[in-house]
Amino acid sequence: MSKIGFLVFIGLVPGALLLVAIFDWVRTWLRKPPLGHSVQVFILGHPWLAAVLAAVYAAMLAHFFLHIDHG
Amino acid sequence: MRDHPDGSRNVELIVLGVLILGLGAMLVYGLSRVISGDMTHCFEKKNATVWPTGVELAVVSVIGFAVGRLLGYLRKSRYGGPIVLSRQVDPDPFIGVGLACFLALATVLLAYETFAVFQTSGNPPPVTSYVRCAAADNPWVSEIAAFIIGLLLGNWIWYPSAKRPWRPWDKS
Repeated sequence: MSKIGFLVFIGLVPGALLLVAIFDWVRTWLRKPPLGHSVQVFILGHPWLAAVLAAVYAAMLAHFFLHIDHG
Repeated sequence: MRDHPDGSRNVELIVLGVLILGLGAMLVYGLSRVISGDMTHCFEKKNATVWPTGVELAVVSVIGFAVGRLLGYLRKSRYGGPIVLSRQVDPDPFIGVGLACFLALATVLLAYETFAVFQTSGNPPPVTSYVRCAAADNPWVSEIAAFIIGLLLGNWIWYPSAKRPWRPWDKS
């Protein structure tokens, strides 16, 4: 493993979420609906996307976290 | 759609601000550990945990996801806009672009992971090895980060459609 790879990993995962969280905070400050509300409105119009999101999230959670103690 | 009362909006801003500061602190801590740390001893577990670290991380993430849902109820009670079950609703274009970017990022990550796992030489290293290294270095900090990430994702993609959990048919 390289330090550069680790920096990309840390910048990509928590860094991207941090940007989205700041975006949500600014929207709340501007009296716009919560990000989750807007996501829900979008997903209700595209229910297949909800299924894909759920599958991707579950797959990533299981793969990245489970069994990391072995090997 | 109802506006936020100012006091309630301030509570939301403070809660979100604390989460942002927590995530930012994790980011700075992680970057500083990478810059100053030794990658050759990455897999030596330095702190004991009750369960295997991976199981604890997964459980903490799921708990964070559920707490994100509860935070969604708090926000929903402040901002009880109706959810219209119709394809005629014009969604926010930024949301569509953001979700597309998320799926594109997930696709790239999973494609890289597939390629990396397929290589028997271990080069390039799979993303799992970075998670394993971070969890071995400091499992408690990793679990706090996993909790915050799960909480934010739960708040965004498992947002409640009703103001009260015991009345899911009440859409307003």
